[in-house]
Amino acid sequence: MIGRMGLGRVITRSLSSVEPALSQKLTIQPAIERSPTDLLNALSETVGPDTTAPHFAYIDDPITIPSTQSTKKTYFMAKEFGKRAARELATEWPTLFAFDRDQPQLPVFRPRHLADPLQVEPTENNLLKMISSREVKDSCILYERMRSENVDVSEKVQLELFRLVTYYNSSNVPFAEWEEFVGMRNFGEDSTSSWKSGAVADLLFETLPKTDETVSIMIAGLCKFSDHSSLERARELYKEHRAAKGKVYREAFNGLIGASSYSVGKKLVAEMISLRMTPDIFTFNALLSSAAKAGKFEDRVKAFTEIIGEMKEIGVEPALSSFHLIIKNIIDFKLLDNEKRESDEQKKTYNHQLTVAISWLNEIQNSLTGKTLKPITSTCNLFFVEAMGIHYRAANENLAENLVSIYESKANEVKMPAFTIESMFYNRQLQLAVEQSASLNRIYDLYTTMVPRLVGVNNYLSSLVFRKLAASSDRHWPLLRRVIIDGIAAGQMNGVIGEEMRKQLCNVQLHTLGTSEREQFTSLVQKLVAVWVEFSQFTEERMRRLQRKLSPSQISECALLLTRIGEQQKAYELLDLLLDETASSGDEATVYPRGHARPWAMAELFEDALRKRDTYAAATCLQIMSLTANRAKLEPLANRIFEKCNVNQEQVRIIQGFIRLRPQ
Amino acid sequence: MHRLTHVSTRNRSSLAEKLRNAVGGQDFGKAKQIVAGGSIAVKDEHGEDFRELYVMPKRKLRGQTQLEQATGRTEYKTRSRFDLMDRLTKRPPRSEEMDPEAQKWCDVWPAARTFASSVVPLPVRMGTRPNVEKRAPFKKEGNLELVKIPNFLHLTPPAIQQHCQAIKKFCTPFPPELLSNPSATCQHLPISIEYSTYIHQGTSIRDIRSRVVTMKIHVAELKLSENQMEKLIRLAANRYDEKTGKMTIITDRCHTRQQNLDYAHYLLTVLYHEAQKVEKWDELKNRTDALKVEFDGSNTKTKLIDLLEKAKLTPGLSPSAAGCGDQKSIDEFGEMWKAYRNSEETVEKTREYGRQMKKLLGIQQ
Repeated sequence: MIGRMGLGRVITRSLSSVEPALSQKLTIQPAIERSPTDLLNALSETVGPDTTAPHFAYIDDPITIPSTQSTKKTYFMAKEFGKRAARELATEWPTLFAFDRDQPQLPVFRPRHLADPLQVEPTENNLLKMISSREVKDSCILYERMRSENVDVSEKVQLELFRLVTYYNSSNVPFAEWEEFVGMRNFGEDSTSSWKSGAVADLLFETLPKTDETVSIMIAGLCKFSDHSSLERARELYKEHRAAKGKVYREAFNGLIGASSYSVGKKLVAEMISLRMTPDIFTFNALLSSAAKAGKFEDRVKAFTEIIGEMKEIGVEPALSSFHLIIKNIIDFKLLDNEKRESDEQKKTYNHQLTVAISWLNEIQNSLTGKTLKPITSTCNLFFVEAMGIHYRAANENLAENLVSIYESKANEVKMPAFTIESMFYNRQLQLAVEQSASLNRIYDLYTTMVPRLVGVNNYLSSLVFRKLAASSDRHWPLLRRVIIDGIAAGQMNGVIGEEMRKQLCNVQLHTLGTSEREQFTSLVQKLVAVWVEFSQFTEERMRRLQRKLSPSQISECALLLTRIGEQQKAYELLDLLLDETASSGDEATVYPRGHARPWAMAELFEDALRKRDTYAAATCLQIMSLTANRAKLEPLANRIFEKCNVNQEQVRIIQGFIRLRPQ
Repeated sequence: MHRLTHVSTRNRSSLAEKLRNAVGGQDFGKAKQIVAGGSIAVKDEHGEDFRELYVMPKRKLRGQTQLEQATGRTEYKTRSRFDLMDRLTKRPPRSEEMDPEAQKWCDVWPAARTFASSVVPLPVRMGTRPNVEKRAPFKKEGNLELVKIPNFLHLTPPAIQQHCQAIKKFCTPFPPELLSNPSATCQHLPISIEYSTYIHQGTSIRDIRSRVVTMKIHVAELKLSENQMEKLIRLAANRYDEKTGKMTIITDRCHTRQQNLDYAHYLLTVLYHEAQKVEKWDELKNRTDALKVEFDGSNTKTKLIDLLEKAKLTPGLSPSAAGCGDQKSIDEFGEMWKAYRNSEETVEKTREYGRQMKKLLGIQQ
């Protein structure tokens, strides 16, 4: 400060001198106001999504990038449980972590131990601390301990505790509200529970005076965790309080409306209006929930129309959760399952309801385009996945793309939880696009953009892409290679997907591939065959559960692929397994004893052997084909061996004798 | 790749093996021996087969097995490792799938990060080899040298251009007077302040070097008189640079940068006001107290004038030389002499001294 004042005097002295002033003044614009993070926000706008990278929560490495949804969950939770294990270690051996040289000291990074309700002193301050940190069960235990030890608890503290235990039904906070551990918040599954009778909430309700607030809280809690008895009790409380000229809060009305039928809900709304309470978005959501309980489709649509009309009349803007309730309940629940739509009448009804649902969604999406979407209730994000489900069932790709653009626009602040609901959303979008698109290039672009970043590799998607590749007359090697590599990483090699992989690879025309693509084909086939053979060799007792024996069809297809890439020796070593009895029986067996080789594969192998004039390879193919063919089919093949290959009289006699022993 | 050879005993020969035996393969002799041995049925007097002599067991001897192991001809039966599923989950490097046309690099590498070989789509090599002409340096996969060094892959020219475009809205235009007349910067902005900010990733984010503040002042803009300027220069001592006309004040004695900045302003204020003070002892200044050696009043000037008077009486010199002995020539010599005495001595300056002396005395080259 002294320096600045001195500098001011210096400037004053200079300005007061007799020398003339500067010819022109300096024009300096005032600084542009900005917040501390404005620069960072401006720079972050230059960064778009990296479509080849995994989610930012994973380590960017080929080994640690997950391919399937289960692997994503495993890797994500592994980090979190590692953090928890570290905290357990720090709690158990605190002296090892006593040395702390962090500058500056940040208490937020220090572990905070939760108070034990059985050890802590039973005072109101400790109870209030537990209540403010939302430790519901610990608060209940401490409160009961205070009551048992005859410690006085003021009415104010009891009211705070009553609010907490009624809101959470005397249970701990659900996983969706966890702040510290994001893994449990994403993947934790809360169980819906009914009201706990005789718990601390009921005890406090009996203790506290029956005011408008306490009765409303109780009614709202009973309706939130509703079963038959709690609903009856809520209605009784409502009638008693109304008979005593008491006033019920809006939250209680919302709970009662949501738990009742539509006609009763409308009456309750009328009572709200008579009490000069304006319905809000939560009231209308509750009314939509009650309207969804109507059994008939026409009644539900009529009720939805009335409610939306009332909202527009009053000026209440519908939330995404309102739209979610509507589109979720338009179609009859029993018609959603494709297997149960047996009769034509049911199919016709389903199509009609689907058309109505699409019409509603079209209007909804038109109204949502360009608007700023903010989360109002906790179920706003479910609208997107439900709408995508409707689009998927109706095979409407245009509306699906519009929905994705609405979700991914900057104006949308409602986000679905990653890895669970968002993955389902994008999975449906990708499957719909793959089914509807006729261009393999577009399928390839969509697939590489979304898998495995947004959508995990799954059997249905792989089968769908393979079906598209088989049905199309064009060839798209990058897409086929990518899907097979994803299948390898996802562990889909054994089973129907593995069969599909071999089938698609056999259909590849090698002469249409370029040089680098041919090298890719060669390495891919080598890897696949090596892995399949390795799976078959888990013959030790303790690892036999991992064994997947080679089937004859698998062996023939692998041999054909190996022959095409120029590895005849390995191909015929594989084929020899089919003729080796010890390979399919006993403890060391690696071949499945049932099944047959592919006739078309063996035929191609036979032709290839004849082309190369390899007598022994042709004999091997002939012997393998003789397992399924009769003598009439084998004689022309033997004659072709005699024509093409150099065989002497002894070999001719052996082959003819071999054929003569085959059955007719 | 995987070896598909199995060590197994066949119960029956396959068709291919029979064909090989028919053309006289490597087992031809053994087959003949078996046939020949089987056909000679030797019976003893009781009608039983004659037992063959036991010489070697029907298995490989221990020495035979060791010889095969030593020469590498042993056939091992391979076993599958239990971590096959974990090894299969490895994906190919994602740099193989990057499309340079459809994807922007600043999306892949938006900020500074450690080198990742699976992300960078360049065939980078780094390291040393004894003979680099025989083997190239190590590739990027598994190369720890690339992980150690800082890379600037996030500061590609397109990325920098995008960053500048993004933060342009927070920039005010440059003063137009300075754009049209760059030399006016010293007039309008005579003081410049320099400091450094350090970034750490350790246990402490502080750095003791951040407190240093360097202030540079263009002294001419202080509008001081000649005497005041001389006094300021004396007070500043080595902080004043005569070539650039700037005074540098470096402060680092306080703990924080703000305190050091305030102290620098304080020092400037004190120097300015001290330079303007006039004391009584200022009037006692004489020639020897000047910052530079002056030609007027020096012994050299007196001796030079005497020398010139004597030179006029000497017949050897040219008395009719132009400029010989007049005041203009003496002043010109004085200027050269002053520069010679007040700066570092060089060969050129010495030669210039000689030329001026000859010119003054009228000595021809």
